[in-house]
Amino acid sequence: MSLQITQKSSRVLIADDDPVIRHLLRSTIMQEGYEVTEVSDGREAYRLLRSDSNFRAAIFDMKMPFLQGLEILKYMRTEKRLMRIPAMMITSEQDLRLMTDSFSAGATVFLSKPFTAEKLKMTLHMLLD
Amino acid sequence: MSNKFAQLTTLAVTECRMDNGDLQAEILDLDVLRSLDGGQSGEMPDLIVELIDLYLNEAAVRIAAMRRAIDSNDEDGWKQAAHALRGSSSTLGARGIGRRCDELEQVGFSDVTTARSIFERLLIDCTQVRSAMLQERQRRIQAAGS
Repeated sequence: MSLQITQKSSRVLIADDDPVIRHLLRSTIMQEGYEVTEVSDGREAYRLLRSDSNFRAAIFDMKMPFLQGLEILKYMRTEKRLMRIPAMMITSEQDLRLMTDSFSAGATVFLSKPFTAEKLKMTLHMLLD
Repeated sequence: MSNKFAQLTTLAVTECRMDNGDLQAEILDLDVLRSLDGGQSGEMPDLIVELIDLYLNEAAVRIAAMRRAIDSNDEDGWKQAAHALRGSSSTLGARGIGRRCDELEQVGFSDVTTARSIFERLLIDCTQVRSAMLQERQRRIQAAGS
């Protein structure tokens, strides 16, 4: 039953405190035919995921108010209903350790800012396909 | 002597002209900005115009927060505001602002004097970026209308 929900879901969760990045992500994801649910900080993302796991994928900014992207990822990997949701981590930091930390925490793909539209689309395809 | 002075002046002017393109790109790289529309169709709302509007609003908020934080010697405050502005600035092609924000984040030990100096340069960069973005915005709206 839950697997069917994941396969049918066309919703993507975006959590980023930057409205410019959220808008860019939303526009690109919707062009690919998906619906978008967006929140502006880690606490909102956590609250949403506690009651809603019907997402095709999730995209988190690493550094957000209240709760960091890595912490949300770690939480998702503790819940069976959430651990199957593939996740992208986005950051403007150039520290390679953050990339490895993201993958260790369960991220599927990693995207560093600044990114081009082409790179964003390529990373989205890796996440969603 | 006057010939050499004239030659040097011509050379300096030529170098300025050659550097002008690079200087413009340093303020706002229009190729980066324009590439973000990802080839959207003409019938859709102009994503670049939307991003410019969002960015200029957001930048004003972040700049105000930085100013307040620097005025009250709040190191965490100005660094948070700088970090918040850095990502979208660089993504939209405003590399200079991205670098200034990075410099502000690197200022250590509540060094308000250095932070203020960087912030003053950031304000200049922001004025130039704002002007360039509004020009691009106007150009795109006029092109869409024609």
